[in-house]
Amino acid sequence: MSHFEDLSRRRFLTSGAQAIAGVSVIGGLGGWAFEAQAAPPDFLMASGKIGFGTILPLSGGFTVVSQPWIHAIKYAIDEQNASGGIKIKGKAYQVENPVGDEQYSAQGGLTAFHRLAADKVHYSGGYVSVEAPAAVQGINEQEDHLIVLGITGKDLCLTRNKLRFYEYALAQATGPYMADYAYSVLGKRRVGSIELANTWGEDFYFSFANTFEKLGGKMVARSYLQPNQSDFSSQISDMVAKNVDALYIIMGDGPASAVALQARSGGLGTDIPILAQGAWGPEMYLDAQGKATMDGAIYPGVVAYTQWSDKHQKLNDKLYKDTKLYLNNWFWHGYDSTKIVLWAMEQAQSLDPKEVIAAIPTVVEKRSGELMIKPSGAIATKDKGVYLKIPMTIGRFNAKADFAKEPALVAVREAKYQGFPGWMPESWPGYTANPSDKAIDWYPTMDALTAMRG
Amino acid sequence: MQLFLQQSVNGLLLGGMFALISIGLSLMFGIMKVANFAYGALYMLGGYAAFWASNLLGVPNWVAILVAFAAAFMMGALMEGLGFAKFRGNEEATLIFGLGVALIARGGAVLAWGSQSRFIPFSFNTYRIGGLVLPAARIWACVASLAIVAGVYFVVNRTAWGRIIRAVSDNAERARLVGFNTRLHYLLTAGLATGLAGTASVLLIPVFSLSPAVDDSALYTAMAVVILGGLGSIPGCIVGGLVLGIVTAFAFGYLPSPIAPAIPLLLLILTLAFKPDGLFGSAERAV
Repeated sequence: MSHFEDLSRRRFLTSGAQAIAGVSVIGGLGGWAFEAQAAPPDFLMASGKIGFGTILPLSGGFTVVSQPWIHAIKYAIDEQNASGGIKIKGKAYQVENPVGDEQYSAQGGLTAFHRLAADKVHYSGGYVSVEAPAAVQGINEQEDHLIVLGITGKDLCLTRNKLRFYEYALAQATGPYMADYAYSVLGKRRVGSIELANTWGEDFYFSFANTFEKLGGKMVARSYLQPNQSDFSSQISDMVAKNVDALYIIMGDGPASAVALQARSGGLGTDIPILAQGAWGPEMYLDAQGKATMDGAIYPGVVAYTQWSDKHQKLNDKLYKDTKLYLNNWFWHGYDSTKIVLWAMEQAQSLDPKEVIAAIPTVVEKRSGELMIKPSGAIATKDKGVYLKIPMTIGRFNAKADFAKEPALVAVREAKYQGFPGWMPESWPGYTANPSDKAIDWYPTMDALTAMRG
Repeated sequence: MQLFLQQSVNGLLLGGMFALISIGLSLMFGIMKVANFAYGALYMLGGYAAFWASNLLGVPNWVAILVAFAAAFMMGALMEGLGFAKFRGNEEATLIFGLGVALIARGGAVLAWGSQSRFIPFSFNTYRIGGLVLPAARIWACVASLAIVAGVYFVVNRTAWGRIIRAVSDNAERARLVGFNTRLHYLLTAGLATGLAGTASVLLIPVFSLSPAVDDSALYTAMAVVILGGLGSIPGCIVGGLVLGIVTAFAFGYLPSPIAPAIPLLLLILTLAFKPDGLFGSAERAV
């Protein structure tokens, strides 16, 4: 006899009611649990502090240049903590600064980011390789994490990302001025270039080349630099054969030093100026050969890089004590941008990254005078985050400077190239368009830029 | 035509430098049958020994070269005594040991000295002959390369010690039975091989500069030359270096930059596919 034959209607209805009740209770409990998980996080670390992380190379490439940046973020946070921390709704919070090793790679950057996210850190700055921020973007929005970026690149900083604070100059804004300077002031007409083979290098190449060629110059030899490449003799010989009168090195640190060294001994003597982009700083001029090879290289830096004040002296002394290095452009990436984000938390009276990023333009407008890079405001876009309006200056590296007491970069004489806008005008379609949109002029010439600014 | 000649010269000079980087590794392969994956690290450390001797003590450049040789010699002998000797016959352990030493050396160098490029001031003149540009530093490195390779060949093939180490290489057990101190000769060979790496590093600092990152490029270059020329073949080292240098120079000189790096790799793949013993691998007796 089957079990089901014993089932009476009464038992069936009773059992059914019990089942329905059970499912409802379980469903209710599950819904409550789900509801609890979906509640907005408190944006504090387990220690009850605000986490502002640093993700920069501690191993792999660019470790020497990243040390000033790492310490810049730390100094900004230390100063804020020393003045009582961040005050939100009557409560003061100290800021912790966990540091992750980017390893100058996408994988390293991702691993470091996930660690920060797991520790409930909702803010981070740094990201020096192109690959690391490219890997982290998108994931940061899912994790409610505001990233502070400073590495240019069309496919990098012009993608959609509502929780990105871009704190540095765009290549599109600085390249035309470099080209104009090379053509109009230096009188150069035939440029040979070597660039890091990625979107960062490409941005600087095109932003320079379009203006240079519009003015009447020629980009006669374009080549790429591979990360593990150590010999550049063939590319240099090609440039010599094509009679270049200026060398544009779109790369910094060790590889740039190697290119410059081999260029000088390979037929491009010191009468051929070096135009530089990337991680260039006093660390490249610390020994006799660095001084001899690269003295006078022309480079666009933040205004603060060409100045010296008591505050510069204090920061430089502190940095040298901690790292045996001097202020460089990368220091200026991290110092003021970190302060801006911390102040924005107070401005918004919130730790929610979405509210904090919205408060950045107000903070920059109110407190620009307290910042050493002297920004002219910030551009809040619909879905590409916020862009800092940072003025730049073209200068020449002075290898003979006493880096302990004076700036490494000396502003050029011409006023046109001092304090020029390092940001694209608000009306530029790049702030709204998809980076793959070929209809957009991603690298406008100087004339087009000037017309856009009105 | 001028550019073609210049690229040819570039290739020959580069090839000479590649041979200089590789001779030590070729010796280790030939005599000790060891794939030393710390070779690049010892190349790098030898360079730093010379750099610090030059900068801190102000020694002349020729003394800096001797310092590099001595420092790298001692490190290589130490590696043999503490590692390779214990793992002889166990290729996986030898490989892991070498890789481990390389990682520690690189990380330690970054922590100790930073990762910025360093230089030793050598002659930075550039000679111009009939429109050809000949950097003095590269010429000196090539001359040194030929001298060192010739010296090693002479020592290994024409001296009493060379006979001994060849005997040890052929059959270590039999050599021991005959009365040779194989342990001592392995130590000396390892030291010589890595000493040559350190020397190469110093001679190439004026060309490529020095940083902790040079260990990778040195190792890959040395491996490529040794594979091309034939494991353990000293003449193969020169020929392999020259071939690789010329192919590299022409690839980077005439092909689009994104494609150029693939050409030397393609050469290696073809060598492994069609002549896995290398150009001189099976035709010549090892070393």
